[in-house]
Amino acid sequence: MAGLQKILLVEDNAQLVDIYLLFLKQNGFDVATAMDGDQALEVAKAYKPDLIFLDVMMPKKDGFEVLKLLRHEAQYNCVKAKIVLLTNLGDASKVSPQVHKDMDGYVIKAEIVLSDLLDIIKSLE
Amino acid sequence: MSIRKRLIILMIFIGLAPTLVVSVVAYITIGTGLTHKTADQLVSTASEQQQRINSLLQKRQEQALELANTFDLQTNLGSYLASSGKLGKSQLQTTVQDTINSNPDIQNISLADLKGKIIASTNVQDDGATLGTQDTTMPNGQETTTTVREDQRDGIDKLYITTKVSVNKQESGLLSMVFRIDDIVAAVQDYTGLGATGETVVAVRDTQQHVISLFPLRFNTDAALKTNLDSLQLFSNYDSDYKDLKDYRGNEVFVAAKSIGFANWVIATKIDKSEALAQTDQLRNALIVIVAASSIIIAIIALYFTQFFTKPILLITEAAQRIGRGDLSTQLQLRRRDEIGTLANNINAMGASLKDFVASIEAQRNRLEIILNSTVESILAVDKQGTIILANKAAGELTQTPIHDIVGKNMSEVFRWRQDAEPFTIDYLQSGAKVYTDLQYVNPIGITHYVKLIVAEIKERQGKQTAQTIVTIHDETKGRELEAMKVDFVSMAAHELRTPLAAIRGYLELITFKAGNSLSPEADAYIHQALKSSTELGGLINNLLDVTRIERRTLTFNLEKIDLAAELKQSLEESAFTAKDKAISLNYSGLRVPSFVIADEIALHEVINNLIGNAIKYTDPGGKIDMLLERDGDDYKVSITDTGIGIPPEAQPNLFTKFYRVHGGLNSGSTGTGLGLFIAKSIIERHGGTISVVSKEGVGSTFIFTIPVFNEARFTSLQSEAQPKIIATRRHHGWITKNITR
Repeated sequence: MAGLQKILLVEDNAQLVDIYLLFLKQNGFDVATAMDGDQALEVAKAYKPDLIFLDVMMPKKDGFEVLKLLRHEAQYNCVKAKIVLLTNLGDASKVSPQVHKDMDGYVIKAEIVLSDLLDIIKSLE
Repeated sequence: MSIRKRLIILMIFIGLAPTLVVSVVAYITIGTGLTHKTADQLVSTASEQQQRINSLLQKRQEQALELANTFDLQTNLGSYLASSGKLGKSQLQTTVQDTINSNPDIQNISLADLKGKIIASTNVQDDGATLGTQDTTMPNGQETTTTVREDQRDGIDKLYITTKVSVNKQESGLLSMVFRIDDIVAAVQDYTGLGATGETVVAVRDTQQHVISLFPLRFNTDAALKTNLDSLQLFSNYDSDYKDLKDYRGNEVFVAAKSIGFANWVIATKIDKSEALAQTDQLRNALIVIVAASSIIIAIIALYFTQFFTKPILLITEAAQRIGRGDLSTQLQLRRRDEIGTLANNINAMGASLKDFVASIEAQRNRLEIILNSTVESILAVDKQGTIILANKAAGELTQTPIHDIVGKNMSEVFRWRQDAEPFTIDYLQSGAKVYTDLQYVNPIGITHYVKLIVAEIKERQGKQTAQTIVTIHDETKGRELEAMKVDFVSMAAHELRTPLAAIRGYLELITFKAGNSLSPEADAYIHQALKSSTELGGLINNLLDVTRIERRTLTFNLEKIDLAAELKQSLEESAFTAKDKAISLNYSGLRVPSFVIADEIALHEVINNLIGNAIKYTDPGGKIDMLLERDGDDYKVSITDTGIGIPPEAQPNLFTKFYRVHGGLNSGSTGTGLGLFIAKSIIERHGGTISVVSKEGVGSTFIFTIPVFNEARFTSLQSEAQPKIIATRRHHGWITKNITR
């Protein structure tokens, strides 16, 4: 898939939102943000992103729920979008097979540096 | 047979035997003596009677002879015969008449010729009659005949003596005298010395050779000249002293016989055997009475006396039985000073000391019970069949079952062990002591306990067989829970720490990106230092999380076919800069061809980097680090050797444990949490390899780890049981993405 340009960042930690937003914008991406599951769905529907960075641990709906809805509900316009889960918990192997199928990637926030984000996006193109 | 019976028999024996022996001997000797005396008396009486009667007879005979030898008689007889009866008859008559007149005891005198024809007689009627043959026949060698027979005239038995008359020394005539026999009969009937049953008998052989009694018998006054005395065998051998015979009454008698030769009479004394032996019988009866009386007395004494022995023995036996049954307060009351008394005292003492002994054992047992029931561990004793014979309080609590319900049940009925969710069986009869860790037990109300078991055998005294097994159960559930809580806390804390860390890093990165070259060199340097520290911090937090995963066994790997040689090279390159910075040379030797193993790339990388990092950290500037890859059988062996400060020997065993740091303390100059080697060991061992160290202080250290060579079959099997395959396009530390078209 060519150039992922529109990115939706779903993250409940304000500081991380700040950092990622700045970085991604600095690197020429269009970025929208949401800070909880419900907001994520609203924004996704309207914004129609190419790539979603989706935090797992969030209030109101958690990331897995949002993932399922985005992937399977056409109304959110993200059925074909790239969705990458963000977490600080352990392994990708911990997720359920359904989640595995639905997601396109898995990032452990504490273990990446900002520049990794660019590699991640590149690998999905 | 009981002692008492034996004793009684013994006593009777001892008491009676002498009496019996003496009695028998006495009976025999005295009895025989008595009998002899009686016999002797019989014989002497017989002799006396013989002499008496003999003299009486002789007197008569002499009277006859005297007359027969009278001159007148002879002359007159000669005349008579010479004159053929014409002369002398009246003279003869006168002679005989004169004689009878002067001898009143003569009853009749008859003179006859040799033929027996009576010439002259005091019985006038007899004139011309003939003498009987018994009068005229002289026995051989005898001068006279002597008979006793009934006088026809008056029916009285009389004594007839006939003698020859010689004229001029020629036998010419016979002279027959008849006497009364009263004196003889009186002599015969004199029973002095003959007791109550004895008598004198006078007998002759009659014409039929029967033995006839001449005179009346004591028990048959009518017996004269009638009664047959054959049975007395008087004529057979009358020189013997006495014989056992039966008399005319049929009674057994002793007989002493003597002969009166000239008359061919036998005179015998006889006495009933019963009378003769009466004294002996008396003696015998007396002795029997004595023996009988002795027996009874002895029996009574024995019966009484043996009690003296047997009763206390019985009492003692009873007491011992009572003690044996458990009544230890039994005391014997036997006031005796002899051996039995001593025995009784000893038994009492034994009972008392047994009581003490039992009391002390009970005290020990109580102590043991208190100890057993105060332990935290469950302790059970199991017998050869696997049956529980003892369970302490803790065991009851563990199983939530009253102890009396546990005891008696089989071990495998009460405890069903599991290990990692699989049933686990234990052989309680094995020898020695065995420890079983990480077992689970689910109690009756469904609670799972994590336990450690020690199963120890107690051998039978002499044999090799198990007598009992002691099972000790250490409940580690609480410990585990605490451990789990600790791990949870660490895990939670680590995760919490990550968020602000990410922010710090993020902002620092932004500064470097945004500011670019507008930062002063110092600020730039500071920020880079800050970034470096935050990366380190991130690494430390990751270590903590790895440890918690290792503890929870949730550390999972993504196993792939990895080229070990390539990984080593890469790590080397990554560390090159740091090494150069510290002026340490970093070299690689060994295999340079692809060397595949089954490994999680990131985990492996972590291990190698950790080892290299340690080597650099603990080596002084100017030192050397060598990395060597070799093939060792089915494994690849990686050795990282440094010329660093080395590890003291006492530290080496603990090197790979959690939180261990060799030169611990703030002033040691070494950094790190001490987790690196622990994690490295866990990872390597999970990969099927080993890790070890060889080190000498002041010289350097060599860390060696092995990983099995890649095996297709194993890889395939691991793949199948592994987590869902992640088809990744890029996999890097910290992220994974897939490239799928939807």
